[in-house]
Amino acid sequence: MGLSLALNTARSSILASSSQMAVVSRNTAGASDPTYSRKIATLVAGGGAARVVVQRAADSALFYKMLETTSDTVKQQAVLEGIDKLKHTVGDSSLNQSSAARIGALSAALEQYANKPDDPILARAVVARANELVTMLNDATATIQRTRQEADASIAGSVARVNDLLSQFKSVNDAVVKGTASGIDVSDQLDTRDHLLAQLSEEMGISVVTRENNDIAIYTDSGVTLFERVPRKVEFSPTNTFNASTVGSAVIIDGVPVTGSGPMPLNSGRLVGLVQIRDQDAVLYQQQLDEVAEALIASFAEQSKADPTLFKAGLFAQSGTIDMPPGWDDDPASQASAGLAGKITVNAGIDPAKGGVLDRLRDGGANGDPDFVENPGVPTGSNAAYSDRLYKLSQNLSSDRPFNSALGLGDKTSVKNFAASSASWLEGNRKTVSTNVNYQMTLLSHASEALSNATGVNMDDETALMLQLEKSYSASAKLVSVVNEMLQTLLNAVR
Amino acid sequence: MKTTFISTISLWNSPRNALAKMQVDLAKANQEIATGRYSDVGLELGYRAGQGISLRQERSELDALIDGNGTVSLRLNVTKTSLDNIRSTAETYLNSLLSLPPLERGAETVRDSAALNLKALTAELNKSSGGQYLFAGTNTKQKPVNDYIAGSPAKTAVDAAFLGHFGRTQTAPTVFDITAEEMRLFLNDSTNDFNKLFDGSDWDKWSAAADKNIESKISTSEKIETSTNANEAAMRKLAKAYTIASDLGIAGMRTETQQVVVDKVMQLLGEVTNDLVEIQARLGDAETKVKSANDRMDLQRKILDQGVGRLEEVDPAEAKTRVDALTTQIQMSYSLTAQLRQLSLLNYL
Repeated sequence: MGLSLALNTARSSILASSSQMAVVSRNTAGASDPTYSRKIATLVAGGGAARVVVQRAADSALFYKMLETTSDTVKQQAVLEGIDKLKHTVGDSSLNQSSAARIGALSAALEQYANKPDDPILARAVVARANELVTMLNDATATIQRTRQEADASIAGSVARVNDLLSQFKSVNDAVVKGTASGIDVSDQLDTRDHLLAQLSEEMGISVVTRENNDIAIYTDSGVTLFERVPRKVEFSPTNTFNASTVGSAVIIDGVPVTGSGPMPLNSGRLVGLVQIRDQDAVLYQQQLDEVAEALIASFAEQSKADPTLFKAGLFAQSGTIDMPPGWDDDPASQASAGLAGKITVNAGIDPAKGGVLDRLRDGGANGDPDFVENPGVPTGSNAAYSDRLYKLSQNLSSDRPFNSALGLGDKTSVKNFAASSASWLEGNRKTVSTNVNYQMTLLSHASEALSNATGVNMDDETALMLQLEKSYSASAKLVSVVNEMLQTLLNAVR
Repeated sequence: MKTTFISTISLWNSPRNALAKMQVDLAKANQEIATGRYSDVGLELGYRAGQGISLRQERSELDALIDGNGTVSLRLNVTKTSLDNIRSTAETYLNSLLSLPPLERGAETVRDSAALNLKALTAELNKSSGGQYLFAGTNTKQKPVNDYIAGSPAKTAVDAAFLGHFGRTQTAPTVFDITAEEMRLFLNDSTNDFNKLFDGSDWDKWSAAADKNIESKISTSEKIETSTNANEAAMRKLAKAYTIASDLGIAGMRTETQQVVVDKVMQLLGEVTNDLVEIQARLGDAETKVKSANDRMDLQRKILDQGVGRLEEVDPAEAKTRVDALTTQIQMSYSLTAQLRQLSLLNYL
């Protein structure tokens, strides 16, 4: 029966046009969603009927490239954020608030005092500069440790997000697998799943393996399983307070530590950047400041006349003791004790604000022991223009002394230069990382543009398609009405 | 898949993507024009940031040195004036002794003007400037010379030495009996208590000054002596000459003995003039060094300033050009965005 076949075909064509229209409207709705990927309604005609299969525009190569670039960018951004915080300890060079600038100011004040050692105003200026320097070192230590603590807290946040994303991923992935197996349209779930992957790649570098029925397994870029049918546990125990000797804990995925010196360390993602700040950059910077503090204490140290091997603290001391820090005169230098920059203070025996005697700066004997007095004037306190010791102290600040060469700033230099190099090191790092961030950002924007062009929606295209569908719908509808008329004619003839 | 396909998001965003970056650059360029320096010096210089800090420190060190040299110059100047006073007093006294045979003018005059001169010498040596005793060496907070008055350690020592040697006080009438030979012996025997008081260790009864002079760092590399002290040979000889003339009882002596005393005084004063000139020359030399060090450091300061400038400053003209270019670009991007919005097939249906 030809006519009824024609009618059926026209009917299925109308149905197909409607479903195609539905896809067009879905696409139009998703046009401004960057995570939406275009749906393609393919018309399969045959056997006298038309059927619509919905497919999804995807480009896995571009998508994985974008994931990788995201991880790299976010890692560099995390590092840059941390270094920016550390940068506050250096400030702008014109503000003279870096440790190097403060040491310079101290040295200038010392020379001025040495030129007129009987002037207590100048002595007071030296102590004031010393106090500023000490405050800067203490504050910088606090800033560094706070930066580490914040990085640690961010790691905890990042790990929580990963766990959350993984559990979402599980439900979406299950839906995809089930849907694919039963042949229904899962394209929206696929979009969601890709979006979750993109979010996950911000936290850590991942690699993705697609398997039967669209099932996905996720591994970290170092190869640790993150998701395979079920999410693996990502663990981290945050540390609440940091001091210079605190070691932050590692992130553990599926029982394997993936940060620090483990066998499978992550290579990219925010976690890596945060760990780098917490365990490397901030720690190294702290060690540099500790060396500066040790060099300062050593530069002002006083030698006993009775026992030339005995030294006590001069203008600078460790908080609460007048003993020299352990290992202060080693050559080649060992690393200063952790957190010394946070403990250095102006000796209470000299600082008049703490009840000290200013003249001891000039004469020696900061701690009240006559055995350490260098001024030959008798009685003590006479010979007020004695400047030898002051010149020697100022000389100490600019003469070479050993530093821990593992810090990357050379092994023998003056404390002034060492502090300036430390500032250079920090700014140099900042510049490098900042350049990297810019570069990665550009890469990322290219990658996402390419991906968007491959999988995004073009509204004009959809509109044109809509017009096409409208015509085909009209034609099918016309067919139905013509067939209807023909049947009517036939029926009329029969009647 | 179509060969040329662009998503609507890409198309619409294309003029906008670079906009944020351009705006950041614009803000940076604006700031650079306003301040004349890089907007973020540390980021711009990177590993060279330490250089900027070091240059500034070197400059502030020079500032401190030049500042300190002001004090040094003042001290040198005042010291030189004092030395001039001391020298002219000594010369006038010497001339008065030379011009007329002193004994015709009366031994009392010789004695009294010597006593006045001794006082004047003490006053000059105790002069202070900027809170420092000028002739105290490094012991600047202690008055260097004790006044020569009854009961002072020096006066007591002189009295004792005279009494010990001659067996009478300077005011006793029997001073007339001292022969010229005895007096010559007393004045020239370097081992007796009187001479030891001036040339030997007993000088500390006169002076509390330190032998060591103030040393000042006048430039980053030079450290020189920039003061003198009351223990110099010239000062000792002056004090000795004035003491001999004023306090050995010259008025009561016989003429030959008086002549011995006056001769000794004239000999001492003659030597003093040379010694004083030598000290003055030394201080003048220091003053010249300070001045030339200042000139040099002024020059260095300028060079350091230029160094900081080369490192951290931007060319404002270049920054302005950048602002102009960026403004144009941003405007173009705005107008393109607006135009793209109208590009839609829907408008033509």
